[in-house]
Amino acid sequence: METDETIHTRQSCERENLSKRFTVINEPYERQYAHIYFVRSEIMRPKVIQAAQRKWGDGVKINKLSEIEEGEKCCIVGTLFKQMELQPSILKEISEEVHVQIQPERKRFISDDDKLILEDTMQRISLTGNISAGDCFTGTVVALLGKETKSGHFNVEDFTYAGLPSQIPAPDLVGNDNYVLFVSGLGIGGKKEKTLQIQMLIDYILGMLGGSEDHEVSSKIVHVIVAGNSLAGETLDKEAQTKARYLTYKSEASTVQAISDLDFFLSQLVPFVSVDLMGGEFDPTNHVLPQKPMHPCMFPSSRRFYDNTFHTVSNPYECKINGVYILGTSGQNLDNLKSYSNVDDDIKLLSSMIECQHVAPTAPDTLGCFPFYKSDPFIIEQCPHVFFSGNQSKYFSSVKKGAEGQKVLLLAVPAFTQTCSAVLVNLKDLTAEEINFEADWSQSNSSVG
Amino acid sequence: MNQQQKVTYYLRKKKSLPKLKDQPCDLPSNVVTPGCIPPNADKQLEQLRDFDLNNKFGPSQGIPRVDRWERASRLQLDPPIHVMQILQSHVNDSKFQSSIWSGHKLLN
Repeated sequence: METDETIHTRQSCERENLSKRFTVINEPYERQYAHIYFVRSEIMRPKVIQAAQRKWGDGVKINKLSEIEEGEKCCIVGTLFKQMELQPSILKEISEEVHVQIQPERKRFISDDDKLILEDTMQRISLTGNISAGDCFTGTVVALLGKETKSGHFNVEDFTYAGLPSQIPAPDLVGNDNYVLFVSGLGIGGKKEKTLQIQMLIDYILGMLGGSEDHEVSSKIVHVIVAGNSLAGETLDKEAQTKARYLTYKSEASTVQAISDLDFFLSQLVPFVSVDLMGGEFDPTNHVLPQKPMHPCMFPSSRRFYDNTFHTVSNPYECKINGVYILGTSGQNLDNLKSYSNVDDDIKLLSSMIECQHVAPTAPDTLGCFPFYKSDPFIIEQCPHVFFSGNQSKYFSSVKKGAEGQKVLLLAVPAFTQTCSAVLVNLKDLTAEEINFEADWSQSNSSVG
Repeated sequence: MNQQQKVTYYLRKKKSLPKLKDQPCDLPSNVVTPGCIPPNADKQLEQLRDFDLNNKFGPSQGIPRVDRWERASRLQLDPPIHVMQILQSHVNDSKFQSSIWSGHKLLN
């Protein structure tokens, strides 16, 4: 038996958390959402106008909606709104005039007669022509080239979004491989929890699994990002909230055991590698975006390393690892875009979001978000090098290049309960690869005796 | 007779009103020069009301006027400076600081 004498030392990483704008502290929830739309429109307007001038020439006439004349070709800038018949509406539900039949539970709310409307701060106008409702999302700021028709609609000939934001170039890591490991959807506490595979993943990161080549790769993993849904959806026992107290006082919420298991897994990792834990749809944090970091009091074993190597972070999350900017979410924004459009391709959706320079364009219309009024923190001011979204059905990755030389890796991180895989991203050249963890149970367990 | 009675008397008699001896001036209320009275609170409130109703600076309901002015300034929309001067000279007065919609129970 050959013994491997080389000792691999894990490389260090410089980590900087850039998510301060996603932190909401003690602000009232009573504000209206008109403010966030106004701020979004005002901030994005000059950027979209610049993109329009780049695409259609400097001489293109940019009009406000109140200034357009019938038959005159011009460019208008505003926020898109998609009017969908099937969009769940509380007003329709409680209206006595419209007797809505109970609809089967839908995953997609689009239909063929969805209408697109462009709004600016004063008016709105219906859109027809060369723009398809299935590919567009509510809340994106867009520039449209076309003419107003006799019927009062705007006939679109061409359109453009703001395009990729400017990017600080990635540092030259001098040929050193630096890996960041992305994993999401661990689903602890649910029926689909793959406990053995999770333990295999942890052993792999710690260099206790695989051969010498694997050890070498593991020693180059400088950071781990857990992108949400570490707890399973089944742990959210919604019935317990409506049951009477005398029925539930003796039973413990399933989240307690689940979070304790998560703490056990994390406590194996944090003494050796820095870990960022993001909240997700099923995790014990607030529901609307941006989700607050999970409180460290829930992780008694890992807490010793809090602020050292163990960090609980917000969703969406932006950070800088060894000079490389990483931005991403736990997947709620992507899933929401899928429900309200025809687009199925994860990479296409990530690409659209970064072209619109917005992490969650459908917020607050169909995706819950906090009523910001001073600024819109979801606007992507600076192009990241890695743009990820967790809890997707499969692993996808693609490199998107921008007009000014920007280069961003679009990454769909698969849910661990579905694929038992994690993603390794090499910061040196922004390449990604998927690692699968499987255990072969097919060997017959012949019992002794 | 008092000022109000004088005005109605002159209007009934269709005579031209005598000129006011004291002319209002545009200086903020903390500056007083001889022969000039500072603009009264009503005129300042009217200027604040115009600021609230001006669509250019975005929705005015639900946020204090100071925050709205600062937001407009940050978005480079050139909000009028005299509005900020009025707001800074009446810091503790909620009639000046909150928008015109704040008095309504349903709109707040």
